[in-house]
Amino acid sequence: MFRSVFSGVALLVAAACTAQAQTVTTPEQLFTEFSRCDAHFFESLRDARLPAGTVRLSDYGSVKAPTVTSPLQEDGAYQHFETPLVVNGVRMVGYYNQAQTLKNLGNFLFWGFIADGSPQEVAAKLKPLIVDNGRFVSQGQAITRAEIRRIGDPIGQWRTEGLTGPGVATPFGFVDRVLMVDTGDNRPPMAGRTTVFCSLQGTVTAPLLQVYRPDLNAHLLD
Amino acid sequence: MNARWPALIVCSFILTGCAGLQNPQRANLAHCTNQLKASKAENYALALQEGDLCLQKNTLPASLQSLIYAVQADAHSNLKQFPEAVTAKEKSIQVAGKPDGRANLDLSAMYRDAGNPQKALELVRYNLDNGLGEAGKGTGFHMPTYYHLGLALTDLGQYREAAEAFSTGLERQPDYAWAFYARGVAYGHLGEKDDAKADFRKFSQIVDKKYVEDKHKAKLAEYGISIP
Repeated sequence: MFRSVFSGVALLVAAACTAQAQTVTTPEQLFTEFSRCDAHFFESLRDARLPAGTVRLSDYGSVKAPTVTSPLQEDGAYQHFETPLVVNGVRMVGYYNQAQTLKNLGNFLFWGFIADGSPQEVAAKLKPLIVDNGRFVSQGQAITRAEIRRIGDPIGQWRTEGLTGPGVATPFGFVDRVLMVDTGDNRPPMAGRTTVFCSLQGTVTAPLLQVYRPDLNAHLLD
Repeated sequence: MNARWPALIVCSFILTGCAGLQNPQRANLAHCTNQLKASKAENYALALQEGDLCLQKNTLPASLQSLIYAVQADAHSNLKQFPEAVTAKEKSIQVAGKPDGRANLDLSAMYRDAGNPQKALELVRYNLDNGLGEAGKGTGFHMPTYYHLGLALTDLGQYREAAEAFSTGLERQPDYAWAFYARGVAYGHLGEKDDAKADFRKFSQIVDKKYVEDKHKAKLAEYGISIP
């Protein structure tokens, strides 16, 4: 009797310790989760303990995500951090979350941070934190980790061969997923800064978004 | 399947138009014509019988032989003789001697009916791997490919991937009612009840009612939906 009670208590303690170990408590841990370019980032934000005044979070379904007005509106897809989130020495000054459909090219989703510094400096500091960073390599001006899925492949399985390459449209029936560090465009708030973002592009459907972007209404691009 | 009828009619003309042939030969070829007629009349048992005689008593060119086997496969399928359907369809493809994406999709469906969804999936993947679109090599992939892909994945219990395949097909052909139905089934297995209900509702609004069977109505009824 006592043995089974003890075993039960031990299991509960072990479970609590495991949960504790999974809680994100540093910006570096959060960035590692982000670098997976999947649901882990949003799930980890549920219980994350981050420096005050940095990322403002909202509840989206069963997860949390940095608050933005709307990923579908260009002027509503950005959050500026009152206090930069410093990740391994890189100052992240904001977060953006954009989604759009381009006729004949498919759906495009971009989410990530805006950082101070050049792409090369930022990538060098962040690389040790990036999951599967052996594939995080320079490609022109940008530093990327790219992969591709064909519709019908297991939902969590990404191919690292047969990639479409930069500047090439994702073929119908495929989804490209890219983690990228690149020069921001010419407009504020990205002008003169570096973007650190994940993207899903191509035949991005609701069943895929339900898995990879639980912070979004999966049907926002239907 | 309807797209095959113009080819059948042409073949029928060819087979019946051999006026210069001797009577025994004409009689033998008549079995081929009779098979096509019986199939069109949905007399599948007669179609099989005449088809067998056609193949036994004639030396047909490969394209016609392939067609006769394809009609045999269709007849077996309609009689729910699925292993025989698979055998006849494989023979049809083999005799034709050239890759045919659409024929592979038909064979995939027959393998599903025969209880072998893994082989069904392999056939669709073969098409995808080799650029074998429904209308030929390099013609791209449309609803039929993604629909059959989704059905094979559904039978394998890979419901998320199946729903994704149906969604992809619907991007090509947004008014194909049966893809909504099939995706509704996949969503149902995933516990996404709202999405399932939305798909079944859409299906009920656009489906051609003459093809709806009791089992489909029963599924819709689970979600409080009836065919208007």
